[in-house]
Parts: sequence; structure tokens; C-alpha cells
Amino acid sequence: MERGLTANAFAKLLNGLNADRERAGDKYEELRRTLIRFFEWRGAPFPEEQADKTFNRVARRLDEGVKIKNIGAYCYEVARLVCLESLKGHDSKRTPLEPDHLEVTAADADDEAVEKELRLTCLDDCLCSLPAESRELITEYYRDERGSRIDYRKTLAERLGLRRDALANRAQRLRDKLEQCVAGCLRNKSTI
Amino acid sequence: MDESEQIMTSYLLGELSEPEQTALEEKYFSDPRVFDQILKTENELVDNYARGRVSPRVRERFEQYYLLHPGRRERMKFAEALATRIDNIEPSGNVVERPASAMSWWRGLLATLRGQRLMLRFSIAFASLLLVLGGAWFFIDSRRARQELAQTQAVPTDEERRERELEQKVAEVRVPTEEPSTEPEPRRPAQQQSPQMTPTPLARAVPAYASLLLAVGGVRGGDAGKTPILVIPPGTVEARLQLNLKENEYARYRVSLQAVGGGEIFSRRNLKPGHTKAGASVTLVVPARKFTTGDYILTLRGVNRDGEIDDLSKSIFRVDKK
Repeated sequence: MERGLTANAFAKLLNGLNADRERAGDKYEELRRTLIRFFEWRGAPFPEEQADKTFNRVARRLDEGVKIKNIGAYCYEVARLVCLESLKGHDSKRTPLEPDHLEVTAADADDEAVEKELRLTCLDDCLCSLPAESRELITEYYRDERGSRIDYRKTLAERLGLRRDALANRAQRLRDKLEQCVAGCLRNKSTI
Repeated sequence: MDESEQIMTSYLLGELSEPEQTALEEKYFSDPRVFDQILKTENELVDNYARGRVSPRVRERFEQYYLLHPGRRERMKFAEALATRIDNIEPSGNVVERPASAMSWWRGLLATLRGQRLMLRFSIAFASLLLVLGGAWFFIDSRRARQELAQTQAVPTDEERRERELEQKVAEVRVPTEEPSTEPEPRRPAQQQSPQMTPTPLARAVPAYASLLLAVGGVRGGDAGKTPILVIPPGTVEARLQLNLKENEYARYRVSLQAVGGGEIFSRRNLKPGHTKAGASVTLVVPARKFTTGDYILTLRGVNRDGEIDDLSKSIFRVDKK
């Protein structure tokens, strides 16, 4: 049984990430995002729980007085162990809801079509909730531009006065935000 | 695709050896740019899969490995929805201009034919071409026919001449029954007037969903009052049925919907109650196409912590599908 994270241990973890509390918060979020994807790409169940478990262990080590020079690299080593445990241990025997946390069961053959319709409705709502500029950016960036995508995105970046990598990062963040919004909307639709 | 993208794609498809995986993971944990690059590679991969644009080998691997994980499967479904939605949105001039601003007409035509719905777009273009050709043929043919008719009418045949003389004689012997009206002839309904261009009415906004609020009325058969009616206008996508619960004693609910005198048309399990100002409620979202006009019974069951199921209510309502 994993012990919970104490406030003191968490403060030490943040301090280890950066002396400035605000920057440490950003760094924490960034590292958590990396950990979640790591667990997902490695096929571990419940990636968010595994990421938090990793942080708990690292924070505990810091609280015990262990000196850690590079928290990111240390987190990775711990994450590998947590991942192995989750794939071998009882975590993998827990069945994630299908789809992830969304309580819609395959009651009949039309369920998939229903889910698709709901997802599109949610996507429309989420797109509408974005500022017009962001909405246009994401629709233009991910538009189907077979064969000329690189040129097209270059032109888009020039038009918006952004470097190409800055545009790509902005599009990626917006996409993540939209994806989270759609997932939240689907959860609400199944529980309201 | 460059070498690093190739490695990243292989990583996402579970094709790298353990040392190769570890090497890449160490890189992306220490360098956020590498991590961002993998995210982009993943988006490209799922977008290409969603648009049916991956090789058979990648498709097979994607389905056998990538889609095994629920989180990754969700990502693919999101990509599918995003592609469906944005591929149907016309490009906005506000954000970006096309690189080739001086496109020739045929390149413009090719540009409209580009994309996942190539066949559909090609079909539309072909149908448009047929319409244009058909219209031109019809114009030429009807012009020719009008000319022939004019020529024919200009020279009446003997038979026509006899008919006209006969009509004149009949008119002379006919007794007038009414005074000729001085009133102008009333206007005929628009449909009977000579054809002319009329503005097409704007498409009426169709609600995306129709909703109905039902109060839980007990197993013996709902409220004694009027049967609630769910009106589904044409074009409605989904119907939302909200069941207000008098008491909320169960962790989960099951709902089943059946046509009166028919079988079950829809069901949901593991529904968690939501909370509104009026109290706890359970909402069921049903595709509108499931309904036809008629009476329906909505059965609500509660599942307690031991997994036992209790029948809670049956609500009857009528559907009026327009």
C-alpha cells in the first residue's frame, strides 16, 4: 500500500524542481505530463495514478534526506520501476472502464455510433468554447493538406508571425486542451 | 519522414528493443523538445490512421499494439472526430492564405478534389459537370424545339383552320350567362404563376437535441396525469431524457427504454446520478433516429453496493416525431 504524500515532502519536491515556486509549479506540471505519456506509451494501466505514485516515491526520498541532483532523470528511473510493477502486479488486473473512465457500455450494436455522435457534439461545444483565434488556428493547423503540409504550415506560421516550432507547440497545446475538454464533456454526458 | 521520426513512430508502435526504448525515454525526460517531437509524431500517426492514410503494415501494427491501450484508443477516437469536423470546415481566409494564390482553374479544381473524401468530391464534381452539360444540351434542344414550333404555328394546317372556324361559330351562338367582370382577375397562387426565380428561404435552425423531463413515478406506472410528450423535430440528432429522482439511495442506475408493445430499443448501465437544483437526476441520451412516433416505457433500476438490482420506476411517455 502506497503512503500518501505529505505537504512537507511535496514542498521539497517543488523546491527540488526550482527554487522559484511558480516556475517549480510549471515544471511539476510539465514533468507530470511527460510521466503520464510515458506510462501510456509503455502500455501501463491508469497512467495518471502511476504518475502520481512516481511523484510520491520521489518526494518521499527527498523527505528522507536523499540528495537528488536531477529530479527529471530520477523520476524516470522511478517511473520505470513503477511501470514494471504495474504491468506485473495487480494494477494490470484492474479493468479500466471502457473507454477510459467513460461509463458507456456496449449495450447494443449502435453504441459505437452513439458514442461517435456524442463525441462530435462534445467537440463542437469545446471548439465553440475556444477563442476564435485559437479555434481557427487548430482547424487550420490540423487541416487535411496531403502532400503540401510542410509548405502549408510554413505559410500559416508566416501569416501569424510565429516561428514554425512555436506554431507547432501552440497547436499541440490547443489540441491537448481540446482533447481534455472532449473527455470531460463525454464524462458529463454519461453521468448528468 | 526523417530517421528520428521513424524511431519515434517505431517507439509508439512498440517496435523498439528495450535498450532503444530506454535511450529515447532518457532523451525525452531530459529534453522537452524531444518530448514535444514525439507528441507531434503521435498526432501525425493517429491523424493519418484516422484518415486512412497509413501503410498496411503500420495499420496492422497500430491496431494490434497502439489501440490496445484505452488511453491511446481514446486519442485515436478524438483524432477521428477532429478530422471529421475540420475536414468539413471551409478554409478561413482570416488565418491563412493558400501558398498558391494565383491558382489556375484546373489547379483550383484539383485542390477541391484533394483530401480524404476524394471519391465523394470527385462524384460531386462529376455530377456538377453532368449538370452543366445536361443544362447546355437542354438549352440547345429546347431552343431548337421552340424554333420548330414557331415555324409550325406560323403556317396553320387545314385541320386547325377548320377548328378555329368552328370555335368562332360556337361563340356566336353561346348565350352569355354573366356580365363580364370589370374587376381585375384575382392573382393566382404563386405556384400557378409563370415560373420565376424566388429567393430560397433560409434553412431553419434545427435543434441538435430534443429533451423531456420525467419525474420518477413508481413501478406501477407513472403519474396519473397527462402523458408527457417528446416532440422530435426533423433533423434532431439526439433526445435527452432526464429522470428526476425522488430519492437517491443507489450508487448506480440502469435505464432501459422500450416501445409499448415492442422490444427494448436502448439501454444504459452504470449511470451515475447528477445533481441539479431540483435534486438528483439521471439523464439518458438517445439517438433521435431510434424513435418513431408512438408510446414508450422508460424503466429505471437502481444497483446497490452489493450489486443487487431494484426496479424503481416505469415512466410512460409519447414520442411525436415530425
